[in-house]
Amino acid sequence: MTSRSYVAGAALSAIGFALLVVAHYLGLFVAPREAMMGDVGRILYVHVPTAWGALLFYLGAFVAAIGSLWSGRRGWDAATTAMVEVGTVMTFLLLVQGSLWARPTWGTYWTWDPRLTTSAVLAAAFGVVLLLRRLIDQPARRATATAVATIVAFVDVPIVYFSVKWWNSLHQPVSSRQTIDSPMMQPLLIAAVAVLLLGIGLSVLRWRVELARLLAEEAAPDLPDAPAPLDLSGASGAPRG
Amino acid sequence: MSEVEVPAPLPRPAQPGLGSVLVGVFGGVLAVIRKDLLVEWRARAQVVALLGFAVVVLLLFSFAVGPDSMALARHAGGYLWLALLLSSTLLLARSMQNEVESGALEGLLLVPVPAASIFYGKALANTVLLVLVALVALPVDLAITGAAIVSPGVAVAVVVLGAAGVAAPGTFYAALTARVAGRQLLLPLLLFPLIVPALLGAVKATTLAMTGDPMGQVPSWLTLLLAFDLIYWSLCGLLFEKVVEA
Amino acid sequence: MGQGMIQGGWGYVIAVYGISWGVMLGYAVMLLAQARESALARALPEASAASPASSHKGRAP
Repeated sequence: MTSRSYVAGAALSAIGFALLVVAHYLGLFVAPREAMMGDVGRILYVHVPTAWGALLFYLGAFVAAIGSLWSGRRGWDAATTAMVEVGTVMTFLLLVQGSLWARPTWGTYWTWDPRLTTSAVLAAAFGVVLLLRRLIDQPARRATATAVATIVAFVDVPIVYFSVKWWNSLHQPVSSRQTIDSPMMQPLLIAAVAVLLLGIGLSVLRWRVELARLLAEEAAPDLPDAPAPLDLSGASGAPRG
Repeated sequence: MSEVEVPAPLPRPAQPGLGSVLVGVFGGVLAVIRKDLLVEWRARAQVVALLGFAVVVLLLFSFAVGPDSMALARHAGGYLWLALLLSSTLLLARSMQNEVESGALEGLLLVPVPAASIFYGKALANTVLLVLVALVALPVDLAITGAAIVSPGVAVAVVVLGAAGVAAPGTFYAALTARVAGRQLLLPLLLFPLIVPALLGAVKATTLAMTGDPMGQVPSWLTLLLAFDLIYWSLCGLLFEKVVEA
Repeated sequence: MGQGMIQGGWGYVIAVYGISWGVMLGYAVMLLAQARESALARALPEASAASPASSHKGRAP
């Protein structure tokens, strides 16, 4: 027996993947070459939607974190976790994509482009939230820590972006708006919708997993206060070395 | 109905006016600052150790870069702030550890002042200590790298604003991780990505204070630092109550 | 950088699309498996949570 959220998450993800196939087919084989970038410019159709998606899901996590902090309900806590994780996966992809795009374009895998740098900082800042969560056992404290760290990290997003932009004011302008015409716009928009649906689907699934985890944790009995000291005497015979 | 009539309105402890609330808040902040600085003063050997740590880090940077005095002088601002940042995690973790051990935090929370004033007190005390570390580290940095301060006013402003920028989120995250296993690692992991903007601003402005500022860029970096400080001093003060309650 | 269009570079494009699809599909499959597992655990709550109180302590007499 599967639950409604499982079906919804799986279905949304499947639709997202299907739309992504269409968008990437159009982007890779139908759309014209980009004027400056040539075929390398086709990375646009996967890179830009990922960037939008990452930001959007961080925004979602921020909202859920406020909800979690305010209401103290575990549904919000699970939603925060789910969206932080989906956003972080996208941010790591963003970093890899950005590096691979920078190499043929700028001749290096890494530049201090504000976007690339910001995504590196974000991957670190939000990745640590997930780590922090793993390390706290007590549910209420964990929920608070997750929510608070998510809020603080999200507020940093624009500050990091603009500070890096000023700091590295000599960066090359990345090809953007003016070069995008309609045959390129279409696969981009489809891909954006696809990533959105995919991300929502994955978030729902992740939310479900987290919620089940939280409920199971709650249902589980407390561990005995004092562990039996006799276990250490070597009788258990765990192989060592 | 009930016979037990509540006697006619006693002179209730009147709603404190805004003025007395403010006095209470500021009194709490001041008391916490005083307490924290007193604790540090009583354990001054630890403060000295912290200063020594910052100096050693500076020395290590110069060894790592080598005797190229041009390169050393050019990056003097960066070394200073990295040394401060590395020292700050030790300082911040200890300041919160003092509270959590022996349940001092619970006692502190019982004091009838808002939790935010505990945060501001601790963050201000940490700012003062960080400025102190900077006052020791800066001359060492200048001596090692051969750089010189051209505009002292800018240097002072950067040190204060930068220290405040580290102290607010640092105190906040120290409180958040105070009871977590692996906090020694978690605190820098949480703090360092967050304060990238403050680090950029502080390093740039410090470097400009050393090399001179022909392009007039200092004000924008100081503005960035100030904005960062304002945002995180308000946000962390707002959220601190949730963190210590949990 | 010159004025001309960058030539070639399909290797990078393939790498980007390959990695992105690989990671997303892998993540989705992992989540589906985990969500399914938790869905199953929920469908049979009695089997897994019937005697939790005794199961912990009842090991060593």
